[in-house]
Amino acid sequence: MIVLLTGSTGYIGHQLALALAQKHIKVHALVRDRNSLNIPLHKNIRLFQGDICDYQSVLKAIIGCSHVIHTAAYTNLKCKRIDHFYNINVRGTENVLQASLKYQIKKFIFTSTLSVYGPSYKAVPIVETQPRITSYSNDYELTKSMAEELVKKYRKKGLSSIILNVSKVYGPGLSTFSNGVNRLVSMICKKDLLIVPNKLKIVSNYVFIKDVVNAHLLALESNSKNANYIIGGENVSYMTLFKTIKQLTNSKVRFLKVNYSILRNAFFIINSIRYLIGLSPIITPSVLDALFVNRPSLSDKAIAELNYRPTSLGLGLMKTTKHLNKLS
Amino acid sequence: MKTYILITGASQGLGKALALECATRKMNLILIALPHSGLGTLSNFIEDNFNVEVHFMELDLSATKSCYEIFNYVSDNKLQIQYLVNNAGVLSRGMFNDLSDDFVLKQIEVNVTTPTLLTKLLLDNLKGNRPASILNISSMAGFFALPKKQVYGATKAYLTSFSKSLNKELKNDGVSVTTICPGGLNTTTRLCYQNRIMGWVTRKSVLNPEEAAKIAIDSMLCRKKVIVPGFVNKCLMALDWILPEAIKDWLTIREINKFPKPI
Repeated sequence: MIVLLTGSTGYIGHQLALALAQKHIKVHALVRDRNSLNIPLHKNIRLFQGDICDYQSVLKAIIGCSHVIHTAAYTNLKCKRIDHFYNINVRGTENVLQASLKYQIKKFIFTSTLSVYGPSYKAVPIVETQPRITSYSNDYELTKSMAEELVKKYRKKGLSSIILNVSKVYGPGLSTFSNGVNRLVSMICKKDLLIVPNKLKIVSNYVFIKDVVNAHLLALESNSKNANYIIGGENVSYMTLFKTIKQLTNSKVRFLKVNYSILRNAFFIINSIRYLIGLSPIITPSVLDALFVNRPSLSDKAIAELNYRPTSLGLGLMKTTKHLNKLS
Repeated sequence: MKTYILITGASQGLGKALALECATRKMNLILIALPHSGLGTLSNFIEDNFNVEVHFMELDLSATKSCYEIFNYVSDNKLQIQYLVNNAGVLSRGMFNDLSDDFVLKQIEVNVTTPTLLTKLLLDNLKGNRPASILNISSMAGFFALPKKQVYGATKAYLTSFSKSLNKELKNDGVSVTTICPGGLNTTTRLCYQNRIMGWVTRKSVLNPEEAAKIAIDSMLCRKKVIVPGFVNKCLMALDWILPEAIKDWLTIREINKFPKPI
């Protein structure tokens, strides 16, 4: 089996590339910059210089491959320009799909996000059949949903695919926009006081990076096709998450709860000032809104059909804190 | 007595938002949408979580016989309809010359024939459940002359006119007719994307379906006649009275040309 992998310099893609290589699966890694420090290095990984936005470069990398895993995406929610999201997440995905159809790829695995389902209805955990109840709250959700629609459109043309809707990922790995939980762990370790919004009862789902990598391998090998699977871990509130991390890191941090709207406005003002003096924004109000909605979910379908086995949050966080301690 | 609200085109967009809004208000639902549009999943989700009764039918409303099938289903099951929402519609797709004959006929069928016939067939049922209401989902496009929205705009002008006349006719029968004329809505992903790359005024005028649905149901229950939802849209309607034709033409063409080419 030879796999074309996009996004191999990303948080998930990097570890996935190495995991595939260790399983003696040959990987064609499409990378924009051969000299990137985030390139996964292994004898089974062959690098192809290119970009998903450049169809010809995708065509070159896909030759000889039987499977495709498309993890590349633009995830920076702080970015206000929708064209970045659209070009990479929608047009880029279409390029990879088109090339996959042309080269009769046996299975196309698409790394997507739980957020395409939107918030949960009250406290009812999100499952694959939940209809989206509210409109798209940011450009990332919108463009990932558009990409999923494209993947489904290509199913009708004959390209078998599996979509993995991954919840909030944490755990050892590259530091990118996609692992906010790791940044939270570092902050709890280092700081004496952390200002947090007073919406700490909000419940989210957290999935350990190794489980996400494993889910991709399971999806690749399973007989299942043309399905969506929610890949998640445990559902916990911010309150529980903060307390668990605090205990694990023996941190003495104190949490100062501030009214959500006041904090949101404060970020808006700080960012406006940063913008005027030419600095990039810290957390934007839209990022805050995306973080503070209820998104509990269940991965029962993946557990039953892919034999997916998620790690407990306690164990996952323990490994994460150990890893982050080593780094510092 | 148990009564129902019948909503057409309920599987996505505004129709789905209307179904969820009514379920939140504890109304029992009869939902109609195209086959393979996810209507069954939506209906099950609502029934499981909202504690209301949901019937659903998967039908193509561009066929006249579908209206009779709905009427027969309602009569056979002795369902009492208190509210009828004619929401299903076919949106515009480009220049008149480029549209296929089939598409245009289908658009007229779904946007004009179906709401008219369905209203006629269900009227006696509605009269029996007074105070009853009909909510017709029209569009701001019905007020303006817009390129690429020729047939669509005309079908919506029909619906608005039909509703206003019917409202007068049904005054003594306890059936009110409300017309809602939304501007841009964030319904499909494609429209969400289009709406986000438009100019500032257009972006500010666009409503999310859940916001429009709430306004629509409130207006229906208050028995209002014609509603343009959203503050910016109301301002645009007022501007329409004031501005000279030439400036309006320039503005509409400028915005319409920003539409991305379909991929």
